[in-house]
Amino acid sequence: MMVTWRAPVDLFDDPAFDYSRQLAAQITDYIRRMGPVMPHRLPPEEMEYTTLPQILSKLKPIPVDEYEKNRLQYIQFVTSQTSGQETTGPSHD
Amino acid sequence: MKQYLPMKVTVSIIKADIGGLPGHAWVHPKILEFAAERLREEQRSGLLIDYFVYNVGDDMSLLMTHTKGENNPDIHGLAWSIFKEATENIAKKVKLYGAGQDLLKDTFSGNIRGGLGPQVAEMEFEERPSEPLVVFAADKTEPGAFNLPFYRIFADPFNTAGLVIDPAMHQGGFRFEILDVYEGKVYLLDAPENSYDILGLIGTPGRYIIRRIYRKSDLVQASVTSVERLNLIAGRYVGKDDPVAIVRAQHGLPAVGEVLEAFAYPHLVEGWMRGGSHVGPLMPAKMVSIDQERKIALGPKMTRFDGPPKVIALGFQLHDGYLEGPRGLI
Ligand SMILES: [Mg+2]
Repeated sequence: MMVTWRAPVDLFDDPAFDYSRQLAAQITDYIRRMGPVMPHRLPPEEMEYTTLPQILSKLKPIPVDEYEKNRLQYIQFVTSQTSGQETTGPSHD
Repeated sequence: MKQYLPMKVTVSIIKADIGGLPGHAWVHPKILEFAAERLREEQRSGLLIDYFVYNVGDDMSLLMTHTKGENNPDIHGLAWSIFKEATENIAKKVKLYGAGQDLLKDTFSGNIRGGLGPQVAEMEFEERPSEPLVVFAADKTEPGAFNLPFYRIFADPFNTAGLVIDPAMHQGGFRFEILDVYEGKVYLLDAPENSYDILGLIGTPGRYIIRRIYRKSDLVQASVTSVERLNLIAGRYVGKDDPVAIVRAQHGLPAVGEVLEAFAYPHLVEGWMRGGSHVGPLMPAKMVSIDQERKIALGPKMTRFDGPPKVIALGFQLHDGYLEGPRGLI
């Protein structure tokens, strides 16, 4: 009689884990809908070594007190997005 | 036929937590009644055109319409004195939990902004021929809780069909004013062009908060949220609070149903239990009752684990400064 068994045992293959799988799938579906917003995305401390800070550092903010004094002018003429010229890219000079 | 005259009206919401019944659960109904009576006097005196008083959990909102503009000392002073008097005459007498907790200073110096405690959302605008307004108030959370739904209302065509269909919105989209509450800096960014930048910022809702949104084609203001820069006190940033917001709808702005649609998804927000040290789903909540005669809407209680975080929405039609309504919208 052959008694050796050379395959591993699939330990989570148990109906007792079915509910956990369902719950995890529901949470996945739920939290994915938060997109790039915390707490689905990690907090800024944890993003420090990703490329996000580099992207945000290109934006140009306005001091709030100055802004509140001349709000109408700012919203008409100013954007925090730097123009295409100023962003990094191949130069052709 | 009545001639339509455009009119500049200011909608002000000033809110505070001046004590909970019990704990952090609810506002004492007598405080709402007291506030509504005081506002009725000021309507008679001519300072206010109209008003409504309501709460969500332990936060009371005073909604006022007038023609005095934003940051007006009479309007802010009125709200301050109502909070003060209700604290002394009711909250302290019946020993509500945290009586007067949002009144951080003893004296009023002309403006309720900038560290006095209560939160303010104000918008001055010319009334359109029809002016649907939605006012929001949330408890056990922070102003950044509105980032995700407001982004979806004004920048996501899967939420707001009008961004694709309505020429007024399709033309230019919306300009977002985002406040960095740590640094005291403002970012002005446009959707859809700069939507990746907007999301890069507002994905950190504890720091970057959408304060105002403008329609780009003519700079009509569509929304305002109560948020101020935080104060750095003893190495800690303080001043975060349960938010209120005003959104104008229809006629080249998102429809009322598009505004509410974004709240059908109860996303995770900060601010639940023990100084807001937990995260929980933002639950759209119904009012307990709405009293049209006395202009009071009694809001939901915060019970399970002092929550979960809840948001209420009241709808009005503004006409000549008068608030027709409200209808509980969620
Ligand atoms: Mg509260």
